[in-house]
Parts: sequence; C-alpha cells; structure tokens
Amino acid sequence: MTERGFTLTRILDAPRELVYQAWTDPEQLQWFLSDLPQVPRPINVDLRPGGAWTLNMVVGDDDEYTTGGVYLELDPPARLSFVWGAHGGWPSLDDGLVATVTLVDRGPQTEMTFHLAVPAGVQTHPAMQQGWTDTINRLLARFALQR
Amino acid sequence: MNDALTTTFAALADPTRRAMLARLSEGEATVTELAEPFTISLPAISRHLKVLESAGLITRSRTAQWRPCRIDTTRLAEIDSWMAPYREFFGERFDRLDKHLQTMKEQQ
Repeated sequence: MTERGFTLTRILDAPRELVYQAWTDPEQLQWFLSDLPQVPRPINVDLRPGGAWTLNMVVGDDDEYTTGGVYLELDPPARLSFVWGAHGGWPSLDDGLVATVTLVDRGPQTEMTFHLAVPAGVQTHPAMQQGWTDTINRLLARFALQR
Repeated sequence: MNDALTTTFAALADPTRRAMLARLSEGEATVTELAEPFTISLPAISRHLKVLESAGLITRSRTAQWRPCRIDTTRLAEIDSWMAPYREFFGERFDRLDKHLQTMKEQQ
C-alpha cells in the first residue's frame, strides 16, 4: 500500500523537554485549539501507549467536536506518535492517520519534525470516492508532481 | 470544496480511465490504441475519453480522423492540494505552540 503524507519541520525556541511537555500536559494543550474563541472544557490526557488524549474544538457558532489522538509511542523527550482524529469531526479517528513528532536538540532550541502519514485508500478528500491507487501515484511520480 | 478537484477525482474514479491515463503517460495514442487492451465497446471507450477530456486530464487533436490523445498534467498537479488543509491545520497549530512555549519560558 502506498503511503501518503507530509512533513513539517520547525525550529522552536525552547528545549526539548518543554516542547514534549507542551504536547503531553493536559494543562498545556490549549495551543492545539484553533484561534476561534474556545469554550473552556477540560482537556484529558491518558499518557501511555494506547491511551487517548482529547480536547473540544470549537469551529463555529454551536459547532464543536472532540478531537485528539490515541498514543502509539511515547519516548520523552525525543519522540511521540499517535493516531490523530476526531469523533464526529474531520478527520475521523477511524481513518488511521498517524502523527509522529520527533524532537532534536539544537543548542537551546529544538528542531521539531512533524510527520503525518495518511494510509492509501483513505477518503481524505470528500470527492475521492474511489480512494487513491498505485496508478495515480505512478502518474504523479512520472511527472514529478509528488512532493 | 474546489470544483475542479471534484471533477478530477470523479474522472479518476474509474479503473479504465486510470489505465488510459497510465498509457498516455508514456506518450500520445489514438483512440484505437487506447481501446486495444479493453474488451468494452468503442462507444464506451469514447465516453470514457469524453470524461477525461472534460476533466482536463487529456487533450485530443482534431486534425485527423484518427485523433491522438495526449495527457495534460495540469489537473494532476492540483491533486496534491488535497493535503493543503492538513498542512494549514498543523501550520497554524505550530504557530500557537511557538507562542505558548514563549509564555512558558517567561514564566520559568
């Protein structure tokens, strides 16, 4: 199965330990919410492989849903990974999107690499009724259209 | 939702059409050449080609009775844009993470 995904890299002006805490401390996860005004609701974190973290995301008037992830790996302060998704929102936890966060010391700063892996066949776009196929991947690769 | 993207995906949703595009990625071909690997009728082949053409995935020359079809990669390039919402989502979150970390450091 061909995997799709993307990677985002950031240099964060803080040591790894602080960045790891920001990802896993329920008191600190507010940054994961959107910039829209949020209703204060408790953020829950069950910090173990197989454990879930959840927060309520407000996306519009009267429109909110629960999102977060289910942890796969926890390796402080270097790495964590989780299945990312929402209940009744986008994307669905059932789609199996896997987020991996890798933290590397860069002096007093941290290089954070975030990779999101999207399984082939996942209807990531509402219009993709048939999902992705190797043929399309080959087409894109042939014309160097894949990033 | 991006209408062009929806049309592109609809065109790609059929395995016969995907196979035709794969053939055209190797070079232009006539309708007869494209029909060759399939057991379906020529009118059916024609319908598939119309869908691909409407979606902007192929262009067809009309200068001769045998009309060579050629792949057009413009729409294919846009397919990668399905990832854009995810990238934006996390890009925005990491801006907030950045600000949050500054606040945490100031408090220490």
